[in-house]
Amino acid sequence: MDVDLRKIEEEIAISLKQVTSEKQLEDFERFWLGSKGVIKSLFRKLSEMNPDQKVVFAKELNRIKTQLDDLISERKNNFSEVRQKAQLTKEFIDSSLPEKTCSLGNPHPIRLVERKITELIKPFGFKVVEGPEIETEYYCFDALNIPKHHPARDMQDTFYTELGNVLRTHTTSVQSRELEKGKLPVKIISCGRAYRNEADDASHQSMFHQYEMVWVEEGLNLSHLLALITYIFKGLFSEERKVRFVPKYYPYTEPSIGPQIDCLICKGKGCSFCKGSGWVTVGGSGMIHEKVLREFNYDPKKVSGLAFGLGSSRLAAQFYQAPNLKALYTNDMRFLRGVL
Amino acid sequence: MKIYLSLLKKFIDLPIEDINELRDVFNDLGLEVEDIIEENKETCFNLETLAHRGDHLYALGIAREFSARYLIPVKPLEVVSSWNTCDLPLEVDVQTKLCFRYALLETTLPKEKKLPKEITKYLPEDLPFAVAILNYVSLELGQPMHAFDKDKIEGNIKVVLSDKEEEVETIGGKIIKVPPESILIKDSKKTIAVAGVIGCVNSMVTEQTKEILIESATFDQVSIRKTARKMGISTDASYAFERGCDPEATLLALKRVVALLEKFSGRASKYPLFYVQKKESNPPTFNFTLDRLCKFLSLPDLRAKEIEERLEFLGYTVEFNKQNKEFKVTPPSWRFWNIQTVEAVIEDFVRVYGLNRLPLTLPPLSYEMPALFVNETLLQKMEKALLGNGFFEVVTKSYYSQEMVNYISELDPLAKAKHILLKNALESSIMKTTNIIHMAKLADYNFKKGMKVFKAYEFGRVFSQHPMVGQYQYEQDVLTLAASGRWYDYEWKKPESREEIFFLFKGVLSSICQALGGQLEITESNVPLLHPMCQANVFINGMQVGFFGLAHPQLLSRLDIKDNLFYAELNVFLLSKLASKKERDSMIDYPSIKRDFTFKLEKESFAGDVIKQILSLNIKDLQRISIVDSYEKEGENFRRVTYRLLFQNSERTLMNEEIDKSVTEFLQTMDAQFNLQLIS
Repeated sequence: MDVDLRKIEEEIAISLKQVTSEKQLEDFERFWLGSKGVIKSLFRKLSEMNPDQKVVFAKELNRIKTQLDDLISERKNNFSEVRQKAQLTKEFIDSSLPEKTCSLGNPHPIRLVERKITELIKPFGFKVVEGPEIETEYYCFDALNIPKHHPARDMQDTFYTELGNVLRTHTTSVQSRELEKGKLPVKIISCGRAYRNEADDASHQSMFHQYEMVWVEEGLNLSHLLALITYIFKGLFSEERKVRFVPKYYPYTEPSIGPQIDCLICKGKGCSFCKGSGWVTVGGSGMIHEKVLREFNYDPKKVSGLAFGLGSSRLAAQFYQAPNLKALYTNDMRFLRGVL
Repeated sequence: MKIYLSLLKKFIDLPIEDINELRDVFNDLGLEVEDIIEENKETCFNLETLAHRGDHLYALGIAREFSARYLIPVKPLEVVSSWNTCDLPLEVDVQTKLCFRYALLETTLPKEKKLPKEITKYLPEDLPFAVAILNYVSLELGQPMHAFDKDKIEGNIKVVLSDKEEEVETIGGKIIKVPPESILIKDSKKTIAVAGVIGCVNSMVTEQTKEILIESATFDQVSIRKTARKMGISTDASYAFERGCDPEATLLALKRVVALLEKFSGRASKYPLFYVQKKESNPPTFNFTLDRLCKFLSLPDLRAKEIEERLEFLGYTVEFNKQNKEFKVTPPSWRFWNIQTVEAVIEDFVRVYGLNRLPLTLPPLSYEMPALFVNETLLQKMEKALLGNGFFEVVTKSYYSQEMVNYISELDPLAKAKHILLKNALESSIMKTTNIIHMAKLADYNFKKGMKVFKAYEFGRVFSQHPMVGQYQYEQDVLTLAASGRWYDYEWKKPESREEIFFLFKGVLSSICQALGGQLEITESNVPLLHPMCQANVFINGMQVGFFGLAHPQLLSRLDIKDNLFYAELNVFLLSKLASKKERDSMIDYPSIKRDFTFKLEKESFAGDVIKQILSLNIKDLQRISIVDSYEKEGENFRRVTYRLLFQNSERTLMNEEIDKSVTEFLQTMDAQFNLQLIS
């Protein structure tokens, strides 16, 4: 039997060169290596050969087959790579185009400030309570030692509803309600809206927010109040900030204290913002007035109370660099989006 | 209130020269310095005094504070020590109890009516001589006084409480109505002054006046305040009386006036004087132990002597019982008005001792943390859904104008009666029953500022009164959401369609429900302020918690707003009732079988209702139904909605044949019971 394996090899090489596609390669593989292919048919011829011829022929044929396997495999890989590359190219995305996104939202600056303060005083065991915004005169004024002739009771300063109720002028009315429950200790935070009957302008709003804490228990004293306020301010602003206290007057506290911090703008040197003093009053505080305690049947000889409140809207305006108080209530998204 | 430094120095030798240091001390004493100015070449402090401290309105009062701070005595004031008084040649009848002390002194004005610069530098220019002297003494001692031209007084004088309104022409030429129950000074023919507030032009002193009657009195502070407020005026006199004047200064001030008159124009032989004290001063006394004060201030080493000294410099009478270490104190006459408790005395002491000298001792921490406020817990859960979807929290006003109520009433006639009116509001005067108006206006405001996306939420309140009863006003916490404009932040030419945004918005509600451990369900609704064809009630776990939809175009048109507004309102109280613990979905390992069915639905029907219908059939092994497509073909008067049913068994693999059987039965039932036509 005359089979020229060298010629077979040449033919393989020539026809492989002509393979330019995966389909052609498939056909090529089938033709040469398929069950009815050339190599298989050559292997079948081994039975016609004498033993010496068989060994040589088989060895050579196996070599060609292995080589062919490798070539085909290599070509397959090439085709696969090209195919993959083409597919990948088709899947190109221009990542420089604008993304479809929503900016992450934010709670309001006033809420952020309220949460900050609440976090600070949580270890002291305060709980948050709420109360109505439409209040009776009793809880808003009478119970808090604000008698009928006090300026705060004026129609000019307080909103009155048709039924003679008021929009609470401070969140201290919530304190009245809690004290009325008669259960000691009273350790509460009340925060939310308060109302004053005045025209809105850049630095005054008819509706604003307050944050108050009240603590009534045996053994509390003025030193506790000053320390608690100092702790809150340093936690809110920073350890480096200076805190001082000035006398104030509120009908529901006695002594009444005005806590101050060094002016953020001029760093204590004096400017128009702080009226040249270098200090800014932040909120008001004091020991709860004896009359208020008695109103709710607490014995002021046994029990005392601390109260501290501040304008959370003013604080938020400072913290989040609102141009003025009004900006917090105009809800300009350009400002709200910038709050971090 | 203005205080000249040189005037203050007449009463006390200040130990501080530096102006800024002095400012700090003023502030430390509760006398807030608004600014420091130079006036008439004099350094002048503009102070905001404590609201209840009438004794801080004059130089001597302020000097006392410095005196107690630095333990330096106040300098004595030159007053006439003995004056030769005689009866006033006219009768004075003080008829009202609200006048506690009343004095009237007659004197002749000098021919040469000129006061020296040392006095006039503190006063406005061109004041008549008599008025200048009285004003100067008022700067020193705080006692408001008034001068009448004696020649203009007819008959006798009475001090009465009026019982009806009357008109007066005040100094300054204004005609003002004086309300009833005001203290008036009258002669036999006319009212010559509104006591404690302002004099009348019919008795005022001029350059031609020769003889005057000087009034110095103590009036009830509440009465003066009421009168001044109702008259709509505030004078130096009313301001001082409202805060409480020193009853003992009634005569002291007159003695000071006389001393000055004698200094500048010679002594008179006699001083006709009327003086009556209608109300006896009963000075209160207060007892407290040294121990109590030390504990209150956390100053265990505080000496009784220091307490005694400082209080005495403030004018208190102090007795200290060394045995039981107890103080008995009597406040000075100028503090009778506002020292009513031991704490007030302590406050006085602390102020002059120095608040900032007190030690800082934190109160004890609590070992029991109270539970987080339920609304805050709720909000924090919902916030993830809201913030993640790009919603910003806003704070809107609690009221709006009558005009808004009218717009609302056009769509909801019953709404008008529910609104609560603020009877004395300057501008917006109605408490809001809904937040849709504010949200719509806010969206519009932001678009005018160049924003393309508006997504906001508010955790606030709405207010209402019972429309029938009208006596019950209530408020409730609501969570309101609003979206307008685009949904996404990018500027792509084609914005999201109205429908896309609607379902994105609904998606946020769904996220909120998930956060609360619930499942969102939707039913038809009829909220008047929403688009009748684009709204729904929101149910979570079977409980209606609110509604959502597109704002009614008529409402937006009234507000002159062009963009759509998607709005939702959820009742916070009801949300808080939801179970906080979510049951975990069971995980089934056996494979599921899905089948899709497209039904023919009316165009304006709720595809979600079909889900309820299918669920009501209790089909075996049915785990989930979802809507996967909704399509309207052109020319057809119905829509095609495709539902995907997912079947799965927790114990074995389901076979197609058994599902086919279930499906056949299900389709027959859908047709028979619900008249639902299958398309594919």
